[in-house]
Parts: sequence; C-alpha cells; structure tokens
Amino acid sequence: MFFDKVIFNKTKMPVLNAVLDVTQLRQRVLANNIANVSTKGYRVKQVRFQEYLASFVRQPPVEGQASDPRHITIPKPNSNPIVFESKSSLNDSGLNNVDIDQEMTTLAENHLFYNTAARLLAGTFDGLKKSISGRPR
Amino acid sequence: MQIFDSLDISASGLSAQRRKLNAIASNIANVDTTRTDEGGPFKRRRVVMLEAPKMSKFSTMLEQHKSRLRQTDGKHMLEGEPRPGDFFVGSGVLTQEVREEAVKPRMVFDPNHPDAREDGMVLFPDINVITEMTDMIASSRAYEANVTVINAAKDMINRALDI
Repeated sequence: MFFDKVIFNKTKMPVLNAVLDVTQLRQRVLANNIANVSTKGYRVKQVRFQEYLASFVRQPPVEGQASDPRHITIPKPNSNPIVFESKSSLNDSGLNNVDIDQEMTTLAENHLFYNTAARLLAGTFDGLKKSISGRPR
Repeated sequence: MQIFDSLDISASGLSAQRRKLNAIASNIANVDTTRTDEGGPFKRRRVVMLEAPKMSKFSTMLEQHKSRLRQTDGKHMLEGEPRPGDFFVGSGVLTQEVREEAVKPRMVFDPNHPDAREDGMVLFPDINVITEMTDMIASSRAYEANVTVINAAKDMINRALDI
C-alpha cells in the first residue's frame, strides 16, 4: 500500500506494532502458564521473539523487488516468534515446572513493555498528526 | 477475539481454583461425617487439574476449517501472513473431581455412637485438616495470581484503546 510505504514504514510504527503483537502473545502464554500452576504434568511454555523484533530494527541495506514468483525475496521474511515448551526440571511441588515467581515477574515486565510500546505508538501518531496539520494544536 | 483470549484463559484458572476451594471447604465441613447416601463415612473430595485441550473453543475450530488460498502465480494476491497473535498457546485449565477412597479411615472406639460397628468402632473420614488448610492457602494464592493476570490484561486492553 502506498501510504504504508511513504508514511508509516518510515516511522517507528512497524517495530512498535511488532512489540504489541509479541507482548500480546506473551501475555496469553503467561496467562496459560499461571492458570495451569497446579496442573500435574504441565510443561511451561515460553516465547522466543528476539529475532523477530531484531528483524524490524536492523534495516536491510538493500530491498529487492520480486517481480517473478521464482525471485528470492530480499530482505528475508521476518522470522516469526516461536512458542516452545521449557525443558526445565520439576519445581518443588513435583507437579509441573511452573516457577510462579518467574512467571509473575515476566508478567509484570511484559505489562510494562506493552504499555511503553502503546504510549510510544500514541506519540508517533501524535507527531504524524502535527506534521500533517502543520501547526501545533 | 485474540485480545480477550488472555482473559478467558485466566478465567478458567479462576474457576478451577474456586472449584478446588469449594472441595476443600466441603472436606473440612465433613470432617466428622460418618453417614452418607452411598453408605460409610464421607469420602474426601479432591479436584485434579488438566491442561485444556486444543479444540475447546469455537473460534479455534472455525480457524481449522477455513479454506486456504494458494499462490500459484506471481500475480496472485497473498493471503495475509499469519500474525504473531494467531499462534495457539493453549486455552487454560480444566478440572475433574475425584472421590478418594479412604486409605486409612480414622477409627474411634465409641460403642454408643449410632454408626458404631459390632465391635464398637466408628469409622470417620480420612481427612487431615492440616493438609486441607495448606491446600487452601496454595489454592487461594493461585487464585490471586490469576486475578493479577486479569488485571494486567485489562490494563493492556485499556492502554491499546488510548493509542
């Protein structure tokens, strides 16, 4: 889309979008881990998202145009975040490997991460609005 | 909707812990019950939890049966890339209630008790109040943890509306 290319992709928006997506996914994973805190045999799930976010920050030096289906896309498509089961050993209860302190800390961190991204995104929109109208509101 | 899935998951955790608390309350209330409908002393109620299976929601089933588009030509439109929010991560927790057979019923010698056996012994339920109390504390802490997750999710949704 034209507007995507000339306006939105030049701002912080794509990476902030990705942060919101990832933190939303992580929130669900954490909710599931905490809901299953007393489930026997449950394995903790975790999200690997560093590569996904990094692919938004590191801008590729060249951008290829695929005009033929046999073309290789440049840059490489984003590696999606991965949900995987943790291999850590059972906790003290012997029921599962949910470390509740770890989960609650990650939850708080994730919450702040989301709020930060949401606020920055709102600021980005504000800035765009100002630059379009050309005068302070 | 994906954004509310977190709330559904935590709600399943809340109801599971509440069910466990109800069972504990019933166990403590019936610690001296010697007579039940099925005969014999009260049997300890125990709630076991299991991870909710994948296909428990309508939206996931709908997603499975959606027809997919194939790109056989360069000029074909791409069906949207799967977004990170589309990943299935689980749908919470399910509970099952089990009636435990008394392994070692508490035996009290009281020949005048209406439920006494021939030899004057009365069978009481095999319920350890201390075990029930510690289970109760663990359960109510787990309940609180789920409430914290719900509050975080609510705040995140509200924050998204401010964008």
